[in-house]
Amino acid sequence: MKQFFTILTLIFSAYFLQAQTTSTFEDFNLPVDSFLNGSDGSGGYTNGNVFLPNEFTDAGSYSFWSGWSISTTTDVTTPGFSNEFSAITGGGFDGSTHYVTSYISGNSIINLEGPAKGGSVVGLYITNATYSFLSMQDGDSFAKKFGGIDGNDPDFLLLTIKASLDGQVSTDSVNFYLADFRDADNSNDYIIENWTFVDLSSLGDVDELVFTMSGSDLGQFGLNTPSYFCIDNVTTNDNGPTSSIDFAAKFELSVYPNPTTDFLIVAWNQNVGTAQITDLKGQILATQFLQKGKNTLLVGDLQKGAYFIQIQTEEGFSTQKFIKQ
Amino acid sequence: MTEDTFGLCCALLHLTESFCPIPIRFFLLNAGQCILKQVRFKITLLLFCFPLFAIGQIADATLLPQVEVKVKGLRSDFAGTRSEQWSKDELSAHTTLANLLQEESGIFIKSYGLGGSATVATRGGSAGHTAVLWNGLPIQSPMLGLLDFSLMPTAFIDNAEIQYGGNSAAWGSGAIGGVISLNNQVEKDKTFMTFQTSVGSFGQLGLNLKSQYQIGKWKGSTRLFHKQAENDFTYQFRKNLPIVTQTNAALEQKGLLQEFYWTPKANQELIIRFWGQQTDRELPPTAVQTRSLASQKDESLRGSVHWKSVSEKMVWQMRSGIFRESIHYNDPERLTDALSFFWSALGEVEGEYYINKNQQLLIGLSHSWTYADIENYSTPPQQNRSALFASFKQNIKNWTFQLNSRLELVDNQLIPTAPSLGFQGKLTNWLIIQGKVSNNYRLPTFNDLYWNPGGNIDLLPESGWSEELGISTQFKGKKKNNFSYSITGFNRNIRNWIYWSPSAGQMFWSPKNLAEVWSRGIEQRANWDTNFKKLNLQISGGYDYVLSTNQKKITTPNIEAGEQLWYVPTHQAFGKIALNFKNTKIIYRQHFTGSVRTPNFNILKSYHIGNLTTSYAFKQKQWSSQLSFTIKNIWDTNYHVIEYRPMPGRNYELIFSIKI
Repeated sequence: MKQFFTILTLIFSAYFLQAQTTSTFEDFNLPVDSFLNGSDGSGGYTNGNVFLPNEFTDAGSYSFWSGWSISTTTDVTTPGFSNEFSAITGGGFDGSTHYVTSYISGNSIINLEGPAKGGSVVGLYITNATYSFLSMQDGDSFAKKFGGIDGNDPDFLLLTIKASLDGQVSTDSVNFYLADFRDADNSNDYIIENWTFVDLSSLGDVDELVFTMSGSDLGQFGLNTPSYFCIDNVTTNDNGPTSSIDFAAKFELSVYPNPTTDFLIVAWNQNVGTAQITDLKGQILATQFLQKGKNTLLVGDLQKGAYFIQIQTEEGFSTQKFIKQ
Repeated sequence: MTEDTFGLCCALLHLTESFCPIPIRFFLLNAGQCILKQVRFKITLLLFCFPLFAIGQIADATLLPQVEVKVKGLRSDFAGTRSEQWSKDELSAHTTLANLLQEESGIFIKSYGLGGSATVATRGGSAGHTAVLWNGLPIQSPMLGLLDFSLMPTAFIDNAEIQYGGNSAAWGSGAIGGVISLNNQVEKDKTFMTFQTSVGSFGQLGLNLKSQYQIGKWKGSTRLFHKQAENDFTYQFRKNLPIVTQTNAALEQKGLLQEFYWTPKANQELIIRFWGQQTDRELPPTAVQTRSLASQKDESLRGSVHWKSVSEKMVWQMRSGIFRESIHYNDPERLTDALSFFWSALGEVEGEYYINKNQQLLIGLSHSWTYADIENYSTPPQQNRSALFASFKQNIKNWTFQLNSRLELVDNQLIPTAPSLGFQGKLTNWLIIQGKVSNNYRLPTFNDLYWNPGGNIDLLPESGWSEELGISTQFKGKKKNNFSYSITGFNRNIRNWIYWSPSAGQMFWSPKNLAEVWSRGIEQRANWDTNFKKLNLQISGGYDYVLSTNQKKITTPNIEAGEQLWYVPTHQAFGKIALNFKNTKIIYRQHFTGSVRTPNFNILKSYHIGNLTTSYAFKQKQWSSQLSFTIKNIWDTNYHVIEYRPMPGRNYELIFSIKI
């Protein structure tokens, strides 16, 4: 009987897992240390269920682009504009070769397409571009070294992600600090140098993601810090437009206690669904079939830290973060 | 225009056989582009070849040998203009022109630190709003529209002058805030040689050689200079911060200035000059930059020919020059290697006619051709500028009035006429009043027009009216006990002020005619020169109050209406006390710079800098020499001219010179 339920759960989970698409950008099959910056006139790049717009201007000996470029460049040491496509990780997420670099001119937008359009977004991985990372670490003739002369300046570089649905940009946003030196204790200052998962499920239903950048090194001409960053593994839900927020309200979903030590209770009013526990990188650690009412998930074996629990049904999903103590 | 004037113009221009039938008034009253286009080539030919033509033409004129060749013309001596001059001795107290202007004028020097570039802001203007003339020829970079004053060694200048206020009518583009004239001249001694060496803090070593010689009617002057410095000074950016040593700031500079003066007759002079200079400098990091490996090589070659002839009623002057300058920027860390250069050829001819003792008339023509290249230009641009300028001065009793006007064509585009009217008059024996009203402009630079991407060929010139009024007084006592004081108020409105900025939906910056800037201020100068037995005491000083505000809100750059321009101090003051006793001279200089705004919404604090120089002169029959010792920044002030750019604390310089 136990085996039967396990098999049933896996089949059920597999069904819902297919309802997500992760854009890894590996399909572009670029050789290492190359990029697509829009010079092909494509106006952008599609992968999975996302379209990444690119605006390209050919100015003879120089060309300029904004939006998104597909990159496999690996240079993590050369500062400056000449190395504008590289991620500070030297490659894509989880050792992959392909990733996407954005230069924000005003904003950068990701369009959701196909079954993902109008649905919610699970999240994506973000890291700094080498250009902006080294500028923040060492300064250049235009932008300052973060922390300033004595390391005490409360500098930051903030990426703000908002949802747009039917042309209406949300007021809610997800904020991600690409660098944060605001803590009084300088040992807590950091510049992101690894691929970091950013959960976007709280943004709800989306047909566009809007990325803007702000920071502390600001002049009358705008941001002095180069407004570049990199993304990879964008995971979208392909289950229609029911948002995480609507989902939770509709199904009277509650997950508790949080923080927890040994178990999580998932309470809801639905008959069928699954709960999936992942780490912050999106690695699936456990999957469990859910019944109506209270369901108990044992999490005592998990290491201390932050995790996601995603509740899925045919009508949508909800992702929540919890802390294992 | 009088018939005399017309005759003068024709005499001047008849060297091109078909030009004379075109009435010169046509230029003044009805300058059509097509006609000018037809004759431009001939003008160009004329102006670049003029010295050779001119000798033949003017030698036939009636000449009066007793007339001095050295005459300051109407262009250089515009009525109503407040000016400051420095002699060779005064210049030699400073290493570069930037140092001189910083310590002894109301011009704000935007210095990036020891060895770094230095640009000027005169009366609240931008770096491109000060015209710089080398013996009457403009030497600002056509690509940048400005001059790096840190590259101008005082050893290659014999006298310098600032004329405050606009005078585009005489000098064309850029003469908005002021005109700086750098001039060379032969010294009275026929043959001599000087040798000067200097040693200073931070590995500074300098060597200047000058030799002047005469053979018959030819005089020659050869100058060489070499300067090097490590500029590895230490600084503490703020209190309680660690002491840091400046890195990547070394500099090496060398130059040659060769001059030939030919005086076939007492009232004629032909001058040929060549100025070659090379500067290799490392570009240091800012205080918020871990390191810099960048460097820059500036090279300039300037050749000029100048002919001057003076007769009883006429002064002819003709100048031509060919300049080439290049900047080679290299940053191996950022894989950047950029070479930019320009060529320019200029020629101008002017005739100044002394109608009678109360009237003078000057008419001149100029033409310049410029070519520049950098990787960022799609195709190397060229520009032709032709200008006709005129000046008329009228004396009425104790009053002098002067009217200047200019008509300029830039690549077939007519620049609106820029007139200026000045006056000067004696109210009493000891009180002089002077003023001027002028319309001035600055043409967009090559980078503004042609930079790829972003260059905007539709840019309009920055232009506007300036007005000023001043009074000065002078008391002369017995035994050289002189006191002078002047106060001048000015007002200037410039529209179409150009800013580079990013636009919405655009990936790159481009220049636009964005701002309107209102500059106004009050300048005061005082000087007291007196003797106590064998002691000579000179006390001089000045105080400038300048408001230079943007008049309308701009989004990018983010500037509010009424906001003071960045890097324009509201208050500046400078003072000098010089004691001269027998062969010993002690000079103390101090300047004060008020706080300035920076483009990063910060305020740089005001500061005082003091410099003390002591010198002793040894004089013998066959030779003379001088030893001087200077303590710079004597109060060890921690200050910043540009945000995050460290400046040196107290430092020293020892100079020894000998003249044989």
